[in-house]
Amino acid sequence: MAVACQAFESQAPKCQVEALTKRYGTRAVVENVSFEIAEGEFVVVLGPSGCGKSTTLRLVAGLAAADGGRVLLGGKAVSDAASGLFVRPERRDIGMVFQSYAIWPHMDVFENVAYPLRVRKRGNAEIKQRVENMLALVGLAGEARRSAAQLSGGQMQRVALARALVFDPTLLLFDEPLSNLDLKLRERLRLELKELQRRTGLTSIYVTHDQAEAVELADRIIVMESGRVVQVGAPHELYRRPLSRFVAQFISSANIFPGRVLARISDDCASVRTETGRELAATHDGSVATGDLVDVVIHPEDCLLGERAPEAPDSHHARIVSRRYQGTSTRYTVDWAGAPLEVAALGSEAPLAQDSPVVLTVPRERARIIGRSAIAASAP
Amino acid sequence: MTALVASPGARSRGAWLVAALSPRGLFMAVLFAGLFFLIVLPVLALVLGSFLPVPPRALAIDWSGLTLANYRETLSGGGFLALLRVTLAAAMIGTAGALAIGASLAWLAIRTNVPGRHLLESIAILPMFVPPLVGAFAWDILASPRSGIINIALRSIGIEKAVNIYSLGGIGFVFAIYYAPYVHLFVAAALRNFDPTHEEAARMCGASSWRCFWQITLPLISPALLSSGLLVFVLLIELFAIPAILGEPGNLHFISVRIWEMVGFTPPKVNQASALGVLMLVITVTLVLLQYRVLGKRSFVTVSGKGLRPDVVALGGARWPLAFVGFGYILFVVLLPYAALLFIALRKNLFYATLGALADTRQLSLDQFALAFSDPVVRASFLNSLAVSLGTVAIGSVLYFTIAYVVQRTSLAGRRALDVITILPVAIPGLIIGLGYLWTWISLPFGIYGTLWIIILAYLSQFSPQGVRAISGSLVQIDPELEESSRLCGAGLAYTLRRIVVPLAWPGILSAMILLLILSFRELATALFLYTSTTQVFSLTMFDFWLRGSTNLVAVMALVQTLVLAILVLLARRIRRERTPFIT
Repeated sequence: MAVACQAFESQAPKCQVEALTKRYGTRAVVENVSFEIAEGEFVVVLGPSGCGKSTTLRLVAGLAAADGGRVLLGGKAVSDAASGLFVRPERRDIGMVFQSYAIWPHMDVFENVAYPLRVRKRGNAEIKQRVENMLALVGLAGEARRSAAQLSGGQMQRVALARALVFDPTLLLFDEPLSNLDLKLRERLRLELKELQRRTGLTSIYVTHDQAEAVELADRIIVMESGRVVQVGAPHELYRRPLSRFVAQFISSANIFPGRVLARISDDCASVRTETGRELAATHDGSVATGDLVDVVIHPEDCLLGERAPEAPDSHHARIVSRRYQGTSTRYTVDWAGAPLEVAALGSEAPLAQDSPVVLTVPRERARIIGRSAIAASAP
Repeated sequence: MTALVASPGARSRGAWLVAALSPRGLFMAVLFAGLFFLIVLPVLALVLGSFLPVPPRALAIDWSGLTLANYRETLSGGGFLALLRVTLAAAMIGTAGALAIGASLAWLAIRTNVPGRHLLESIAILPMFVPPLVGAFAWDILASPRSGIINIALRSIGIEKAVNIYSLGGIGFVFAIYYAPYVHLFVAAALRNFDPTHEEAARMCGASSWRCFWQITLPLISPALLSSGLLVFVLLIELFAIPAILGEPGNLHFISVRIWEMVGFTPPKVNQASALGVLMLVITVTLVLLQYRVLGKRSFVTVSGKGLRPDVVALGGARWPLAFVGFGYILFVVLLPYAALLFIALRKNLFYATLGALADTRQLSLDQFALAFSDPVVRASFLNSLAVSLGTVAIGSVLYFTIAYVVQRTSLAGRRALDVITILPVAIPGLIIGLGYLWTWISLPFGIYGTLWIIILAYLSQFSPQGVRAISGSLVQIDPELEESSRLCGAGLAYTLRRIVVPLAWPGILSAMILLLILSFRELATALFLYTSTTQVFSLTMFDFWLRGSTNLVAVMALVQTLVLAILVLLARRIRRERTPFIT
């Protein structure tokens, strides 16, 4: 029985969320949200503030009760609005790192980390051993007796992580854990966090509004907008093939032009005229038809300046409007058929001067057509 | 290992019943029942009694006897209007004075460069710690028209009958000085949180500092002035001790004192007193509702979050004179009364008519102290007060913490109503609570009437707003994530309360306990109708002895009471300093 059960559990996704809904009054802050997370996966829930991502996390943790839908951990339901089932947070065996870290100021570092073990009535020797191992793992060896009130932001973050990991939880939740830190520290801790997760292999859900953090950390990203999931995919998928204008804008600083499909060139390519009158060829997912209103997404770093003849395919006459040198790259605003376009050129050279004419190439395999108002949740 | 909760989406009548019978439902039901007995039932009993023709008799209420006669009698003949006029007039004078004194001191201490302003800021609230009863005794000794020490001193330089504390102005003055600290606290908080850029912007627009004060500063602190003014006004209308001591000799009759006379003097007119009490309740409830409206509507948030301390106004040549006035005032209203009490406590013979007689050192002795300490009534009532105070603190801290936690930290159905019920006593004068308890428990067959328990219960009801608010205040400061993280670490509610919430809220809980101790040790009006010869509390004994003319003993007792309270206050300050470093 126990063996069969274990075999079953290893088959089931570590965490399943089915049609989760949470309302405050009549306003739905989370609406019909579903996703699955596999064993060992690091999933980032990304979205602007107020999109319902933190609420979704709290519903998984059991810190709030859903008005609809189910949460399953290791194949077992822990909350089911239809039957009234609700397992209290302390019974869910989930580790969580809070935005404020929630380090208890009246306990020292050791006691903070030891707390989950004391709750579970482990022996003193075991507690000492495990807490010290954990503090070493997060880089706080020798700091056990520091008062929690004297810790820096980065150290609190590490204590919070050690406390969430010390009892071997089945799932680890992060609620914007790096948002209170300065940029440099944030980048370093991001690296450490990814490394730690790789070593421990813990299934994790990480909530953030910072797309750079999401792209770097995630195996998979769930993008949320206004309480709904709008796209799920690996970081490069979201970057290359956004399903909506919202995702394209949120995940990158892409140029986005509204336009109309002139003709299908092939199964995955079509020509488009933008509202400002440019004509260009771009890639699509096969679903567009002639005459459709669409958006064209062009990443600044996919455009080329001055390398081809103006007669080459996908090349156009343009003029440099302004130049912003950024060290490792240069951002240009170019005038293309009477409207601006952002272009990024890599390298520390910045040879093109303001007001000079230039040949602009937008490779058709890099320009992406997305349907207007296509809020389609992709299959997980 | 799962708990069932009713989903809010599908709440039929059956689901409601399930919710009510769940452990949470039962817990809330018990809490509501407790508060109903503590706070609501006495008020209902009082209202009912005001419509009955006869005093209450054990549960046997003759419903057919409901009558308006008590109100008719109270309102007819102009007696009520006279009471109302005196009560409101004195409260208005007191409020106006308290506003002027409290706001000026707050401005002086916070917005000017007066020497020693930090010290001034902390001692400006000292008069609040003088119990009103003690203050009334002291000013009677100092400023009664014939034998007041000030009048004797002035008479010796040829000024006759200079001050009369037994007048509307005199009583208003005593009101003002002991209630000014409430205004000070409100206004000081507003001035401290004041974003100085509001004023700077006005100055940059070309406004003079005088214009800036009238058009920018004053309007911005006006909510603080208005709401503290209304609070003081209500407290002064409710007040019993000062009118009872200083009003009667000058033939000034106040509503609260009249209620006490109607119940206490023979023949007792409990029903008419109740009618008068209900009328008083209508006034105080109206004013409290008005205050909430004012607070709700006009909260100008000027806190900028930058932690900027507003610029101070350079007073120039007026610095030292104003410092002299500020500090002199505090000494005048705190030290002078206690000096007078100490003088009386040490003096054998209370007949003095000239400065020479006053200065006669042969009259000084410690005999009255020995006499007071050996008096069995004094000793018994001191112990009674101690027992009542400790009982109130023990039960109150647990009860108030439970309520504060349910209101602040849970989503239990009915928690808003719980909050409202615990705030109700703000609008109920202590005297009225006492009268309500008299009605309730004299007619109920449980034997708590005549024990200390009934006084403890009345105090628990009277002080619930202060107690719950003090503990709520410290709970609000605790980030909910500190609790949530404990839950996710596997700890249940009880474990989280014990290891996380109570330790973090402890400074607040402790100050709430000391506040309760102070309030219940000095309370007079609430116990006025609830004591018997064996359950007399300390304040009652003082009041009783004063009425019988044992001025010496009263002076000694007032000093003892103040000493006990001062020790408690110092203890509270010390604990707050020691235990708060990690609360931000």
